[in-house]
Amino acid sequence: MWVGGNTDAFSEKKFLGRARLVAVVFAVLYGLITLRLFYLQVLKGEELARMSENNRTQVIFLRAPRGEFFDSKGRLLVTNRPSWSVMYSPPEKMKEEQEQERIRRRLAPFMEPFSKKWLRRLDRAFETGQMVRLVEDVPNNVSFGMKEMGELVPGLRVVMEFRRGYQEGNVPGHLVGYLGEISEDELKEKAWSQRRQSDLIGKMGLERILDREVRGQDGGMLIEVDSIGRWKRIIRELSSQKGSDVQLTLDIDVQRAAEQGLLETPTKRGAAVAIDVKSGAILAWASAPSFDLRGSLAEGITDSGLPFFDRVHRGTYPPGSTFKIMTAIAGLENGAVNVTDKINCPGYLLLMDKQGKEKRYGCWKRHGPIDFWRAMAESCDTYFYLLGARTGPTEIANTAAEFGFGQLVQHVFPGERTGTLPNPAWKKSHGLGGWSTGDTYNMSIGQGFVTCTPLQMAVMMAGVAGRGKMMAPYVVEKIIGPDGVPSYQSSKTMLRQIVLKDATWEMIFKALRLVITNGTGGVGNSSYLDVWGKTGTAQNPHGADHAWFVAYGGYPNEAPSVAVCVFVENGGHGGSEAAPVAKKMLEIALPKRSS
Amino acid sequence: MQRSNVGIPSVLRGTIFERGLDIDWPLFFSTILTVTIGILMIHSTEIGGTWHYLFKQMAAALIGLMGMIFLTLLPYQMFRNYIRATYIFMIIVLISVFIIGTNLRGTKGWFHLGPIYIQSSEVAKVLFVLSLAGYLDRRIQWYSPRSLVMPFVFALFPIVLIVAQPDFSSSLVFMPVTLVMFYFAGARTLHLLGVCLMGGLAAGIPLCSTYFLSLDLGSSEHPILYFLSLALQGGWPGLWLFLGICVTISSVWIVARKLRVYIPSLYLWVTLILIGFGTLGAMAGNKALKTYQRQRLIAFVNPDIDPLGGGYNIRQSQIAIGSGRILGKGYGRGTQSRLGFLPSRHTDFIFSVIGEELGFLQTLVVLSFYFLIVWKGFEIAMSARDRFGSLVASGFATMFAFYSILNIGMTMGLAPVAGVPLPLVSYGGSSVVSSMTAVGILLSIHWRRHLL
Repeated sequence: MWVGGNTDAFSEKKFLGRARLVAVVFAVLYGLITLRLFYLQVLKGEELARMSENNRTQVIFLRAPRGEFFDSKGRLLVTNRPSWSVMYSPPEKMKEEQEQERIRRRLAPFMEPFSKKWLRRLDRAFETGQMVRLVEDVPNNVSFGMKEMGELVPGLRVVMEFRRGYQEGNVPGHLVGYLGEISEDELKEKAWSQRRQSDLIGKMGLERILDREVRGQDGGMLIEVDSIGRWKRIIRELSSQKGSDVQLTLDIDVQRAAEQGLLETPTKRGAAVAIDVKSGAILAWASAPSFDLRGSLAEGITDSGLPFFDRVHRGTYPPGSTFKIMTAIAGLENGAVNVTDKINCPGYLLLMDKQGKEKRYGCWKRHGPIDFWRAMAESCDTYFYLLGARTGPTEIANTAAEFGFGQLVQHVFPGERTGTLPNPAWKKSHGLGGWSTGDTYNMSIGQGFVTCTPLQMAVMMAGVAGRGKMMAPYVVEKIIGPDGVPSYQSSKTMLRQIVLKDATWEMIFKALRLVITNGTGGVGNSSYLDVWGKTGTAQNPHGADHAWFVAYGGYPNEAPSVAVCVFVENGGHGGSEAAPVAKKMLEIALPKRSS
Repeated sequence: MQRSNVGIPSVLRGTIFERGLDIDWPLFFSTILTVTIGILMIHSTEIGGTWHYLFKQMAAALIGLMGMIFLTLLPYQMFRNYIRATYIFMIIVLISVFIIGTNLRGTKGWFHLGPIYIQSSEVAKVLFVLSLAGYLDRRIQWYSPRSLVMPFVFALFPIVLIVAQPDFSSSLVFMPVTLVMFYFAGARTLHLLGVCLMGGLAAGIPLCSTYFLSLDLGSSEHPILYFLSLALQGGWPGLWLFLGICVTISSVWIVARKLRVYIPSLYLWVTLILIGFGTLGAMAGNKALKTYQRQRLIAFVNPDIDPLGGGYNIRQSQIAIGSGRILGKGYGRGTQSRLGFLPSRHTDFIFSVIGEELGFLQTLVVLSFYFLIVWKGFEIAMSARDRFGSLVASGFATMFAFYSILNIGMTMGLAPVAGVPLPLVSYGGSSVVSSMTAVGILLSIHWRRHLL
């Protein structure tokens, strides 16, 4: 009851009613708050707890060191080296344009020496809130500056990561290939479904083919960060696991001889391959010009010499006179040739075509009367025109197909080309008209429609050297897992056994030996090895002649053990330009015995 | 119940000397417990660092406790005899802070006395409730225009002075407290609704205009909304809209008259005048709003528009509370608060820390303490022995409810980020002391409720 002063019962009653009303209103509001609390903590608790967990943690992936590459004698070719990467993870608050601009300005002076890509990556970080690598392989002095910067730009980190390290001069670039950041398109491919943005993947060669084996298991850290992105502590750490090592069949000495040999040729363009005859193991795989894996790859892209183009298995060229080996074998096997019969070579052969017009098929030289042995040794075209015509195009094509022309020899390598092995049926089916004698002439000397890759050529020579035993070529000797246990071991597989008469083998060996001892391939002769070979100077419609030299060699009184093919693009004469390289490769692959 | 007053000085009437210790223990203990929880939670935000906040808040709580006991013993009627002095003292406090005050966090609203800072607006709040209650207690002629306007003039001075500090959020409490106390004192509901309409217009128009601005409408796609957004910013389109509304209301009135529905013309004039003043107030308010205040308003209306400006805090606060779930993350283990995702975690967003670390069940206990304090306040108001006591008690209870609901609602996304502290819990000595002295006055009113 109110007492005293200016009070009355009416206003007290009114007051009590109103106070009760307002108290109830407040009670309802408290009830609403309680409901909201229930909603947030009980109904949405799980979801919000997850959000708070996302707030406070950040996942960092650390690249595993990739497996190393060795040559057949265990010499290191490709390894890993520690390098500094600059990572940036934007704090939660970084969505304001102004803030972003501030970070950009802060970082710009440090980023000057690197490509502009970091700006795009920074934007992606702002957009997604995820950690990105801004730049990789930062030099030491810059990385120290960055580390200090990290205090001013929260979320900036300099982290040690492994990068590919390449032994100087020991890298078969085209075969091993290089790494690059995964592209948007690749990310969508099924083969790379396990990969994440900014992952490095093999872009070429074995790095790409064996990516799964070599890559290893990426490690990671779960890190607690505060609201401005500073790292507080590591919650969990998963160490990375190195990938499997790869032992190649290459002999780095032979490889280097091939690479250097190609560089000494007049055009510095070409390919060189060496194959172990018995096993099919590839000892050297060189394509020139090449690229420097230790430097910037970007320059190579615009180079007109096409350094990234692997001429070994992707370049198809007219084989020229080296193809005469096929013509000769087909002729000998089919009895189309009597080795002692002589024909006259006036330096050309005339052929009447269907319109009765005479067409002239040239020889590079006037040989005069010439038999099979001299025709091989001195590479007489006239002789082979006639030999080819007598043997027949289908027979030649069949023989060449047995030796691997016109088909893939190494199914593992992506992008490998088959070249062209023509025959009458092929010509017709490609709408090029009927087969003419002129086509046979051209085919007999490895011109016209015939094209092949240097790899095919080397495989063919290995087949000849092995007397028809065609071994499947291979480059990976074994893959050794991180535990030291090989997960893959090469098995020598024979593609096929070509069956020819013994006499044919004897005669072709004798002819190829004569090329070296008494013929165009004299430069390829070795003082201590027996070398068999054939030169080729292939005309081509695009420019100067291609120089070829194919050979195999071995120690005296032993079976030939190494086959090589050297191809010099627009290099001119095979005997003078390609043969020296081949000889060097053979001599290094089969060093002088000290007995 | 009635005893002889002989021999007892009037000052001590109705106290321990007459009736023994008659304390509202639930109110007393829930206050003490809430302050204790506050101290503990404030310390939880500085674990691993200093003990700075803990000691300062404890010192403030001790001063507050002394003030509370002192005011419990002091007969509250004393204030009624000095309402003019109380009001003038409040105004002097608020003016002198401009002259001898210290600038802290951009607000010139603090007295610097040795080691402590006193926030002038916190002192003013308590004094304002006391003096307004005294004024309303004396005026019961509710039909004179003067008595209708005076309480708001009363409130206007402290509001203007506090906004000028500038401390917009501290001035927020004066209007609702004035309205509610006016209502309790017996003002006519219709009058108060009129005031609410005017206030709603004055506050609503800047809010709407801010919202429309944030939508960034094109003139071709949304012609009507575009015009509205222009109109709400004032200027000529605003004037046309205002005139249009006035004409519409007048013609409705005229049409009603023709249909023989007679509405006194007074209602028409009052409505038009209210709309006019409301619009004028809105234009002034629109100009006065700072960019960050606008952002807060937008963020409240639509947090998605600017998730990292104004909305960021609300979102992080909700994540903090929600992630506490039923049992909480544990004392000192709130990642949202510890890692800095929560803004002002020891002051305005202390409730988020409570929610995150203590979880639903324990937070419910804290909430019920608040509800108990407010409920007890109204109970005391309804059992007070005089109108002055009732008005003071209900004023404090309203202030307490307003602050706690606004603050807690803000942390959960139910109210805009107003920047008001959570009474008794938020770090800040002045706020704790003023809240505790208010509780002291409530206890005093309770103690003296039976005296005739």
